[in-house]
Amino acid sequence: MTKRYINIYIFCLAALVLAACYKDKGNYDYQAINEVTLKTDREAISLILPDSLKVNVTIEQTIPDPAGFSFEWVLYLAGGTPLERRVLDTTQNLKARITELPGSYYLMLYAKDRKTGVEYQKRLVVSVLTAYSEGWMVVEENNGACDISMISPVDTIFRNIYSTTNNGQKLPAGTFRIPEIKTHNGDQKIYIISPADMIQVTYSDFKKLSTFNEFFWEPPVPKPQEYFVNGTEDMMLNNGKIHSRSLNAPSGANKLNLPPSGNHFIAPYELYSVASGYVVFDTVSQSFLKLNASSSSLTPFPTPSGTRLFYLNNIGKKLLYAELNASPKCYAYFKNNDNDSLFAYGFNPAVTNPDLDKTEILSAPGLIDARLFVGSRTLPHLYYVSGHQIYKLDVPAKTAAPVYSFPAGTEIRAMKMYRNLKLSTDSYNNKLIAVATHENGEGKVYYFPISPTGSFVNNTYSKVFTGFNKINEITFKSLK
Amino acid sequence: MVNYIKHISLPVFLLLLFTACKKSELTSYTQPGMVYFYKDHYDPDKDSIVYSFAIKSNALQADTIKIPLRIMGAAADYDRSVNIQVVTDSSTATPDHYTILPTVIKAGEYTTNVSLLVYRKPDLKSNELRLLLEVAASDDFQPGIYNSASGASMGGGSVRFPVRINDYLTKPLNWDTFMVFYFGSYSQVKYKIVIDVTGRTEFSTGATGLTPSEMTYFGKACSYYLEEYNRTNGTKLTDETGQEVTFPLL
Repeated sequence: MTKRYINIYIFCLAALVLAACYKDKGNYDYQAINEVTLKTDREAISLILPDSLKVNVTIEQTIPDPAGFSFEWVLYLAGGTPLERRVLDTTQNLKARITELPGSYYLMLYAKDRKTGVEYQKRLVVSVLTAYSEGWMVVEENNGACDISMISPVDTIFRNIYSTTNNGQKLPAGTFRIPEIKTHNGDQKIYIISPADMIQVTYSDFKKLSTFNEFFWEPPVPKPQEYFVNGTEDMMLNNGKIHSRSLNAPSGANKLNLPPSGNHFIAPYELYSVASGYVVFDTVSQSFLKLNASSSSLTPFPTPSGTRLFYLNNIGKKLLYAELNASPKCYAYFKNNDNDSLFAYGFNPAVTNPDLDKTEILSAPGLIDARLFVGSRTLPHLYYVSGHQIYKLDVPAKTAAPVYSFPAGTEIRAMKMYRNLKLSTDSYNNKLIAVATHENGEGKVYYFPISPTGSFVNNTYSKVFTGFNKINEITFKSLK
Repeated sequence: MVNYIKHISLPVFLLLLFTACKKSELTSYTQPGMVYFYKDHYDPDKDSIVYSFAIKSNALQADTIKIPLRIMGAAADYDRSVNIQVVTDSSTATPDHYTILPTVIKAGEYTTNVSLLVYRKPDLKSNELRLLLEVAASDDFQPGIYNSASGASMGGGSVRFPVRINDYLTKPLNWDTFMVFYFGSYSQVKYKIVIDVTGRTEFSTGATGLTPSEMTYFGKACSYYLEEYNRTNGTKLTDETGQEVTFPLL
């Protein structure tokens, strides 16, 4: 009996073992999937507000089914973390009114196969623009008040933008500065500086957002000069004093701080790189200092060992102008304290031995009293204004010469380098200078493209825009 | 006999096997109500409180200290009382220095505060008194978490909570972990400047606290104040130990 049971066990065991080797042919029913391609009639889309957005989509599929597809069109901000996504439409062909603020957006199309539940998607890029999204902002003064106009990339001129948006309110007389407009963390901030006030306006339509006192924990007597924005560090100059803040901080109140202590009067020029942070020139000690924007403190440069061309912590000269050259090199232009010699110092403030070259300028007519400067970012050149002429200083050649002469009596009011911060491949980036003049009671804006040698192309301007009032300032506004 | 065992045992075994598969009924977990002192990770007073009358108005003769409590378990549909007692052998404050007001967890609530009334007695000018509170058993609650540290994502708790009471300036508990970055090392003289300049006695951090930007402003404002003080008086201010008072943000 026992043997019989053993045989049964062995039989069962053998059956199980053999069953394990049995090829699983399965009970599957392989089917070809429906291969779907979404094709839209538009890929990259730009629209100028107010406008609607229309996109038609066709579906190419290998196994169409009567159940069809469900659709969803979703729009959200490109870059950074999209905080809001708006469903524009749920039909196959999109037709929706766009109410978003200007900026770059992603338009997502989700098409779900109703039979299989499989979802397909396609992403399009949408640039939402306004008439004021990009162009040269022009501050004009007339009858004791200022307003802003804009020259668009297609040469359309929009006049009195500020007062139109702000219920007829004008900017104060003497409004003289719109600092370079940069985009940080998806936001573009525009500051407008007048002799006793600084305001912020919206990037989309220049609506006034805040006034001078709101920028500070403890507002100083207003005498604003400059406002620099770089990375996460803001720096404002008011009456020679620095008020700074770091945007690299938790959410919550973040205002401009008290200035660094000490007897400083900082020159209003911007030297900034990621490696060095802000480097400023103190006109009292005639030395360069490093700014810690977070703690709002200044520290002197250490003295390098050995004999150097010059020492950033002890220049001993009056600063005329300073600007970043071919990064990370900076150029600073000085006159000596007797006002009879001119110098150009090239340096990299981010390294232990910052001095790179020191040049005594032999001939630069009018440079010693010049007020308007533009530095080249590619060549060792400085453009400056003297009288009705624009000069180009060639640092290695130690001399300057006129590159353009306006008619005698022309007052040159502003001069800026074209920098498209949105599109680095723009062929005119750092290769075009815009100049504002006042001629016979009329304000004009000229474009001067720069040749590879640093001269103006064909020794003249490429475009001129006329009919402005007295121009105080011009600043290029890139797309957000 | 062998066949008998086989034929009986096999069905019994199979029966047991199927019985084992029977689904059991779920039972709910129950526990008695418990309560503990709650430690919010971002509250500088989460582990203890130092109460100083020195930073209050001279007219203030009594004040109430609030200490957060939380329950364990579900809320009840009736008010429940909490028994807070003093651990006398670990306390130096006598009953004339304080009154523990009745503590109740209201119906439907999970939290409340212990209200500790403290009195400004003359001896607090020179002595700091200690009061160790403890959650004792009541009709409604047993003592809860004995002691657990708080973390960034989770609060902690304990059944005991120390309170120190005085009438002279004492170092805030978060000075060395937070305030030191903006005001430098502690001294009573420096703390008095901080209070005079900022108008604040507490500098909380965390999500609902002060931002680095505002703390930098406070630090620089104190620095400016000291510079002006030293310039006006023609000497450098020193603290209670004779050391020169300085602030780090210049």
